[in-house]
Amino acid sequence: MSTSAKSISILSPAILVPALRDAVVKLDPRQLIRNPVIFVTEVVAVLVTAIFIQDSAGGVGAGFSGQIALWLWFTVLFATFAEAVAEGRGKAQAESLKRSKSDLIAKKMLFAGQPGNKGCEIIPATALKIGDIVLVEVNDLIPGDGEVIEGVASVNESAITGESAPVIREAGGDRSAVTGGTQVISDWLKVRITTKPGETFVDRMIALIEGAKRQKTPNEIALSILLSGLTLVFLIAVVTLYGLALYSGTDLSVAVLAALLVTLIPTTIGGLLSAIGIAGMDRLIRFNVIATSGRAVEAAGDVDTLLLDKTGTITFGNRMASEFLPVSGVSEKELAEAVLLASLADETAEGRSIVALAKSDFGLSEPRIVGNGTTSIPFSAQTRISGIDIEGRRIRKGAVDAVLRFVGLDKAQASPEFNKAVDAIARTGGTPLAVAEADRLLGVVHLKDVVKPGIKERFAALRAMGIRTIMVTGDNPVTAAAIASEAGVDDFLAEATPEQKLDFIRKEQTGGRLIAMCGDGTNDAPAPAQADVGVAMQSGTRAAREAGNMVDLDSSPTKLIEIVEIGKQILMTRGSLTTFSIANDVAKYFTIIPALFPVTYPQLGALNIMDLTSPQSAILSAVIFNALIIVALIPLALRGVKYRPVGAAALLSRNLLVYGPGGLVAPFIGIKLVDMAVTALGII
Amino acid sequence: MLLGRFAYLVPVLAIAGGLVTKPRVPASSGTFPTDRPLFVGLLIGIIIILGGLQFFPAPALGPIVEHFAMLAGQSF
Repeated sequence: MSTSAKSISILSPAILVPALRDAVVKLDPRQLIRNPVIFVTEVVAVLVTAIFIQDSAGGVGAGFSGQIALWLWFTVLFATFAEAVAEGRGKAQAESLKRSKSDLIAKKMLFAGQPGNKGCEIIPATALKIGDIVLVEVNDLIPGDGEVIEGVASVNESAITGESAPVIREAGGDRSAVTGGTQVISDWLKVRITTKPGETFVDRMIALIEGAKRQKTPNEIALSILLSGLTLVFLIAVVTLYGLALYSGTDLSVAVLAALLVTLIPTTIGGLLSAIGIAGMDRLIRFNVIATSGRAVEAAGDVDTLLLDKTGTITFGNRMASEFLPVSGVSEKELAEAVLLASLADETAEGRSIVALAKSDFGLSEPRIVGNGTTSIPFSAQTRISGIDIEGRRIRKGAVDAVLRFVGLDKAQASPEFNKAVDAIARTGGTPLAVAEADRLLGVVHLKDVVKPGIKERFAALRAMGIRTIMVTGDNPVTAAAIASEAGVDDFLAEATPEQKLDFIRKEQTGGRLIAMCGDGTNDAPAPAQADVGVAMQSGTRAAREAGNMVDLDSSPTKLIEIVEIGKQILMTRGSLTTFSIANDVAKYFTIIPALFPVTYPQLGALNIMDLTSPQSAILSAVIFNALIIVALIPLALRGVKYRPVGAAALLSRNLLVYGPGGLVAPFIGIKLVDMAVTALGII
Repeated sequence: MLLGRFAYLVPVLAIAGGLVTKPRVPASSGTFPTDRPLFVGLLIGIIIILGGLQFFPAPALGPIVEHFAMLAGQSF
């Protein structure tokens, strides 16, 4: 998505104006019935409007019922407006995606079976079928989702990921998936289309962002049931009040009872409930994560076990040289020099890290390799050594046993300190790389999987949140244990095969845990599918992307941590606003009950602790406050309650203290202020 | 009266049935401890506020108003 769409503020007219229009459209009772509390409010608003019309026709003072009706309609409108604003930003993003997708053309290959790029037919991308082979050349946009079958090209995926650095896509392996709407910026690709137009990744993204497939999440359903129950209970309370009043000789008007009902039912949380969920999905999108359902986002908030791949997530994924350990009779510098020479032609990350370490720690400069006597020996899986023949010197580096064979020794014959160094490295989870010149062992290079900086703190934060982190790796248990303790994970799964990962997840799930994991390879696909929250990397294979219920466009596995935080934040925001909404009711009784019986029971005036001007102004003020508080809380609902990684009990007590007493006190002050305004304006 | 007694039993039994099918979740620091003052306070607070909100109108028109009337020297 484009950066311009991302930076839209919720207060910009681009969102507010369409949101106002949508808010009115959402008043349709058929849509509103999904939200029982607000639906009841609308029914009551219709009822009071009818009374207002009857009153005006009858010529009696209709001002009061008219104003109550007006503010009841505002209550409903503010609730639908909150939802519309929450959807607004997603809609703006979807629009910009739609623009990027329109007018795609495809070069369909007519002779797909033959090599070469001859014979293309230009058709619109919408006419493509699954299995079509298309040619994509420099500067062409890829017309649809597919699999590269021939060629290597760099592709700019910024339209999808916002990441401007191009990525390499090639046939075979884990980098063969391409996404429609992305641009080839060098070379060419032959792509087999694997998705029907209209169901591509961009299409699904648009649908998700627009919320077309939005369904209520389990937590939303549970909360809706609670709120509906409360609504029912308050309905009964208000209806019985009518009978009680009749007994004491007061005939309460329907408008007044309607006002009491609407102020008591939890309209605040009812009105903001869907906005909170939508805003949560939207926050994820701004983190460049697309969730396929709100359910997954919510499950993320309840996750208690996080499975992380070691490579690329916890460590950089490349083993790097960390020290040179020479045998006796060889100086460290001599070893460094020899291994530097042997690594010059080695373009692997390991080779380059050796060169870098030799240069930085020993101040060696890169010798120039000249002359005909120089042959570099590349690494092969059979010999498992590499090196160089230079000016008569034969330097080799490689796996310990292979190098020992090269010098003609077996392990028992090697010097004890050499063996000790090798064992020490293996024990700490590193990889020993032996170095020899001709038939002389020089020493060992310690290759180490380097743990990413700052990752330990993130795991500590997760532990404080009550989430266990488990490292999954194909390494042997010794290496895994060393890295696990260095990174500070709670547990690890070593020598993991895809089946073992799956079994591990199943076992944890039967123990009642909710598992989140991320994966990017085809082999990994079953595990994220089994996990409760599976995050697939955008850079990963198509199988992995479809298995997960979230796609991370930045392909950064530590994103799981933010996803969990956003999930928790959504749940906390709902809880806080429910607390606030119910605590509000106390003040409303103190406002309305004394106002209902000014004639029969003037003594009840003692309950009018806010000293409101008149019974009418008190009732109207309560209704106005009830409507305005929804608008006032829209920003909080969209932004979410602030999350701190301090554990459930501490967070809950903090939020209860803020939103409980806050919800008790706020309406006393708010209603008094509205009453003063109503009186000053002389509305009643 | 029968409705008041038995209509509440059905949903409560449904909740119990729902809980039976739920898996046990091991406690962690992300779990809300139920043996602390926080939980006790929260539970009592909810009962008082929700119960109070439902029944307030009836006592307000009965004992509360009579109390104020009595203080004003009026008796029934």
